[in-house]
Amino acid sequence: MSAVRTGEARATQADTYVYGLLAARGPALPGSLTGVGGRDVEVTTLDGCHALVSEGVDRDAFGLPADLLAHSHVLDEVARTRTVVPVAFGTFVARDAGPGSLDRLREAFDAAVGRVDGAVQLTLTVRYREDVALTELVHEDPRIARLRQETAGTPDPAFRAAKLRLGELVVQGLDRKAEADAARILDDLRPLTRETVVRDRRQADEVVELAALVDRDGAEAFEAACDRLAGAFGGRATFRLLGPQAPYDFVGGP
Amino acid sequence: MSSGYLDRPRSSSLADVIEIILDKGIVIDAYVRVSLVGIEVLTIDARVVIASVDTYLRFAEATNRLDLTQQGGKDLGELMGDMSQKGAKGKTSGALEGVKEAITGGGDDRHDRGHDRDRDRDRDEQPERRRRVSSTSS
Repeated sequence: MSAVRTGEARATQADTYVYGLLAARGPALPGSLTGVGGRDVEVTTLDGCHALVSEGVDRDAFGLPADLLAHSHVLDEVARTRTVVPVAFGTFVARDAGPGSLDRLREAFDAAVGRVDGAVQLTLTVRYREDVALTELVHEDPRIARLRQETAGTPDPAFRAAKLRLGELVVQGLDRKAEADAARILDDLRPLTRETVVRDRRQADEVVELAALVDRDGAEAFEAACDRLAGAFGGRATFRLLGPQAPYDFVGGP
Repeated sequence: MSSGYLDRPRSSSLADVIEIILDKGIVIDAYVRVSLVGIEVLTIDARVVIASVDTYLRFAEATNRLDLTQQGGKDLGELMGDMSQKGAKGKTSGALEGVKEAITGGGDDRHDRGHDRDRDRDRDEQPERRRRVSSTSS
């Protein structure tokens, strides 16, 4: 895979890679953190701002999936104990950054840190167990039950319209179910969060995918609530929880 | 006490990471940003359209295949057993499997993905995936 440089000409091949920005004071970094390109991770001062960096990263060799994993691993591990503002993946210090970059870095940090200070992100993905949800729909909607019987076991093209109608009704049924179930999940979880970001559904069997910004000492309670919800849904849906993570969804962007 | 129903991976997979962090984080104007053309293009490719002929036919066939007699007899314990073998892993990663394979395979040319033609066509009419932000402390 090729990496494309979007910036100006670089001074050297080995550059400073930036993971995120930190408050001036905080707990020491976790030991044995391995960064992108297998490099060590350290805190340095960039333009008057504390930054989590790796030195000596070869920009030309950068861009493998392993770099993406290392970037998130470093940020997530640090975020467990210390507030960190994630910087966009693939950011290197520009040696030729002109005057003014100092202000912009501080501004960027100051603008972002208030929202996420003392918080971590948890990301929850809930999906229906397809056969369970579809069985519910067959029992709930007589039109689905009838079309299912009419089109069962026939590859006949004459039934294509009926199959499309069946599929449409099923997808609409899943949409309705997801709307109700997502509301139930969000009602339960939102009081435990500072903020939530709900991603648009992309698959018919997806119930909800949400990123939650949670106080660091509230992460366990959030996990316990997810666990209770998962139990309450029984075998209807799979609940998958990632984190604590750096607050990716709560800095920059919209 | 754990319900046993929550899938709690210790670390993020590549598919998770692509989904969660790829377009996130603050952008510092003065700094150089290396962008991964392949990954970004494929992330867009991963956007699946729900309201499409492909999806309708897939769910029609899945509904046809249901074994209702067997389903009716299953209790939660059996469902859970199935889920740990099949659901928890297969379902949650399904959406991004294509991305993951394409990236680990090193492919960065979307035209290789000819089987996505129908989706491409449908997707043109779809808005991009948006995120809705809400705050509990207003």
